[in-house]
Amino acid sequence: MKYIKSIPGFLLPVLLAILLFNTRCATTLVRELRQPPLASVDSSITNVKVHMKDGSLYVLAIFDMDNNSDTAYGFGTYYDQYRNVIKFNTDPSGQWIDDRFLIPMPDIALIEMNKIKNNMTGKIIGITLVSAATIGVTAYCLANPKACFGSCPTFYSWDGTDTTLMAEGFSSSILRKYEQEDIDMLYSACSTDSTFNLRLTNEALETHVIRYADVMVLPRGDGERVFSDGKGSFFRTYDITAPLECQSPEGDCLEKLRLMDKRERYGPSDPENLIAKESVEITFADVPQGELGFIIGCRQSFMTTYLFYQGLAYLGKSAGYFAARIESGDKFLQRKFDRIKDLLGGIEVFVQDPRGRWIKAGEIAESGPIASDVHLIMLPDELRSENMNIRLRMTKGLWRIDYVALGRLGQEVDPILVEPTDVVAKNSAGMNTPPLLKDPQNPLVTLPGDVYEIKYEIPDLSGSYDLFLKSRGYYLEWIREPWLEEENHVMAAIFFGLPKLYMKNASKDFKKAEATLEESFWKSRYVGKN
Amino acid sequence: MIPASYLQSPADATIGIKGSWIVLNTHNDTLPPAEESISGELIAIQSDTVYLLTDSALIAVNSSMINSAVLYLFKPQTAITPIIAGLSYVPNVIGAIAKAEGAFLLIGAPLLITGALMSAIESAGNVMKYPDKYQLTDLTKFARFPQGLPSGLDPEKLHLK
Repeated sequence: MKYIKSIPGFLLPVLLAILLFNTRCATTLVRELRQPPLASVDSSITNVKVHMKDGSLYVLAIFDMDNNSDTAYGFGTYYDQYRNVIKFNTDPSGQWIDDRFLIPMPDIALIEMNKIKNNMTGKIIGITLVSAATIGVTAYCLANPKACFGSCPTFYSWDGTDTTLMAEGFSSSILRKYEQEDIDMLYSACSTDSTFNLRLTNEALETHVIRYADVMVLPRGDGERVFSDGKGSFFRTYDITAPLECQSPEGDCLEKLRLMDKRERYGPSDPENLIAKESVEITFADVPQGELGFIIGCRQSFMTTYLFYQGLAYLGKSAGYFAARIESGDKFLQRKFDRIKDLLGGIEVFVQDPRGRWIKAGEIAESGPIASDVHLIMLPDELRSENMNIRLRMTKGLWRIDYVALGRLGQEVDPILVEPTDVVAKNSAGMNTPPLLKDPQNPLVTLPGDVYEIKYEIPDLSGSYDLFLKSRGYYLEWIREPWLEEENHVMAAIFFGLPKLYMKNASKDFKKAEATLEESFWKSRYVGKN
Repeated sequence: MIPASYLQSPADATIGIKGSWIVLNTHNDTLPPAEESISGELIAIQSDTVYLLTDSALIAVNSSMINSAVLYLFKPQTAITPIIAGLSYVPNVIGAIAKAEGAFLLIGAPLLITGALMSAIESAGNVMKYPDKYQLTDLTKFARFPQGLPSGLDPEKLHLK
């Protein structure tokens, strides 16, 4: 134990600070009882209990009051004073199946509202995961619950021949704590005349909270494209060159990577360890002079979705509690969640120098299994050679690569930011009040099945341009009922506490699902293809 | 012993249809010592009387007879955090064994202590204690009938979860 004595004394207060920081985290239930009317204006509130003077009880998902009327309305379940069910007008998933309750206001004794409070922040934090969603669950979803469609807001646009999926917004923002801005290249987007249209959809059992969805316009010259380095800079790129060779563990992968055409290079996961790595080696010939950038179009496979959902399944009914803890600033738990992502890792890009050594040039780590995004990695000048060898190192089975190229970097370009001119709900739960997507403090909230058409007025530019989507927000998963059957807190503890061990043991189960994940995922979308 | 059906998760507790479980410690010169603790579902508190439903009957207890009370709001959220903390500490233990250096153990100590302390704090957050922190009237809102006993109620038809 000799090293204990040599630990610097300043560490002790640090350790104490860590302990104190983490000890003010008790969860409490805050219950409020009010007599009607609740407010001076008409009100509609969710998740309330209405205690009647005769002792009966309404437990309501939605409760509407009109202060000009003697009757309130609601959807939920009605119990007698002995707590026997008298009537219900919603199914277990919350869908309305009968007429609303008509509740005489003079017969109401008290209205009860509850919140879960965490003392650490002093803020009232609602339950951040919605539970027990079975609305529109498809057979594919039931057959493979971990492959149920989900991710984040999806954006479609015209590519010249069809309306296709262009981007997915903020895929890693699974809680408000993880809210972030996301910039996605709309690689195949075509705008006609001076307008550009995007269709925003919620095709999963999720609630999406979108603060903004702006378009960035970047002028380019003939034969050029504009790419983002992922750090907020955009570069005009020319002399874009396809690779000469591509070798992967399964053989020649050249044809799959030459064009951004949804023909992807993808290798299976490792049967013994989900975080085992693989390499793909790419050769470029006749590399031009000048500053160079490596261009890659890729997306994740459904491995992260599978693992994310598995983690939620193990947590079961506790998932909301843990989400609330992270929301309240529990860094300990947040690090546990983040550790899984760190272990899976991104696509590391290595360049072989003239001495044969592999030098890391960058890493692609953007989450999202739905739409490929295009990234630019700046290559150091000193690594340039006439024939350039690039190695991509990544977790087996995690990444789908659609396109790689090498380009000469021209001038840096500043984007022209275009906000939506018009946002129209084509199919919506009616939760949002116009104007939409104008004020980040008043976000657009979408529910499963919602569709919005967003119109942008593109400035009058002489020449071509590239378009990027700049969005910000977060989303909340709905816990699927089949997941609750897997609730297992010991497995949850291993999943989050010993993730490396978990990844080794989970490989066999994942392999069973792997072959059908892609098909199951796409076929379990909440709505059909637009 | 609290019935499992009265130890819900915090989320389920927000939509529960019955009162919370309460344990009363009472004094009464006429009662034998064995009957000083009574537990059941909190039905109502009104007019200085606490009504609780045990597995045998609806009981009315005058508040002047109550020494203390503990109300259980939901199931303590103590299980997972210390397990995660403990498992996260395993590499430190292995490191300590491999290197025969106690410093490995100490570096990981905050994880274990934090997990244990968080567990202790969570086990306190799910209860309300009279008279330590609350008055009896503060517990009213967690009764089955926070508005008071409804007229015409037949106690024989009341049942626990």
